[in-house]
Amino acid sequence: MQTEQQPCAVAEELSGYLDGELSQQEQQRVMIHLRSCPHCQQLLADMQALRGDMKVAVHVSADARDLPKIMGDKPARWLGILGWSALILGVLLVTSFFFWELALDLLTNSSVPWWVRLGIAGFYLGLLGLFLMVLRQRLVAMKTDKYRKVKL
Amino acid sequence: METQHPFLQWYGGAIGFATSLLGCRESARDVVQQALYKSLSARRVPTDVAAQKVWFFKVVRNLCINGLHQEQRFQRHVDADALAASFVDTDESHERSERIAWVRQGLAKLTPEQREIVVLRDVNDLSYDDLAEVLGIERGTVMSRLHRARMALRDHLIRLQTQSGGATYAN
Ligand SMILES: [Zn+2]
Repeated sequence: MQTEQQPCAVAEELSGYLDGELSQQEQQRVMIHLRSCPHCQQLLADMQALRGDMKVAVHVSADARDLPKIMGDKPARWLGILGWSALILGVLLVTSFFFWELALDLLTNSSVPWWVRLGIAGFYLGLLGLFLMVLRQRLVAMKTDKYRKVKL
Repeated sequence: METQHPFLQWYGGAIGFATSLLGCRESARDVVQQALYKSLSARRVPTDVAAQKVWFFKVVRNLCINGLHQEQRFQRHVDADALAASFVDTDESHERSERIAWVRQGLAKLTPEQREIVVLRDVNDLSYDDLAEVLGIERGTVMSRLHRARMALRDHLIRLQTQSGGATYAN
């Protein structure tokens, strides 16, 4: 009887044999040895059983919660881009129309003194400037955030 | 109709692989998600399926190792019980539990090096060439390392079995 202390000459080839990774010659050699060695027969059977058990023990059935998240990602991203573009376009149109009307009114309406008109213009320009500043900050923050995500 | 993401066929096995390295199902899921995102955005993803599989598992492995380095616990042994527990599915039947639980505990007792090669081979069916590529080792090293890992796993199982007073592992 062979023990763990006296390994057979084919020892690790047994794994190669199980995995079908041996050359034809090596395969032949292992087969011949197996016929006369109950120890290796047992070992091969154990490894074979182990392989089946490993699949059950480790393989994770794709979680129903995960799949929509992965597959829905692409369409969701496109819908997001579409939505944001439409929103930005709308906001741009409305604000430019508003400022055009305002500028026209301020330039042509002579019933109000010039300094009041200047004050109103300054007020709106200041508001616009502040809005753009906040927008810029947000965009910069978003960009660095994205970068962090990619790097991970 | 929506086409399925080509990498999804390896999803379950990749989660198992990442879990066996990280010892935590949640982190494993994050890592595989990241690998999937990377496959959507990366510029150099191979076109043929066999090479894609190697690429994918390489990415998953690298993400795992980076994660472990950040936590500074690569090579340090994970908690065996926690690792074994992290493989358990919530909807798992209790029929084959005992034997499967032994396999998980035995797996948890292997070194990370042994664990990764045996999981990549026996769960994810990577060929020896693929294993050499993913693990960054010589092809000649693959068979001996894999065999040693299998023998170590078998020893652990036999020990667990005698501890619990059961019959021999192979029956
Ligand atoms: Zn023998």
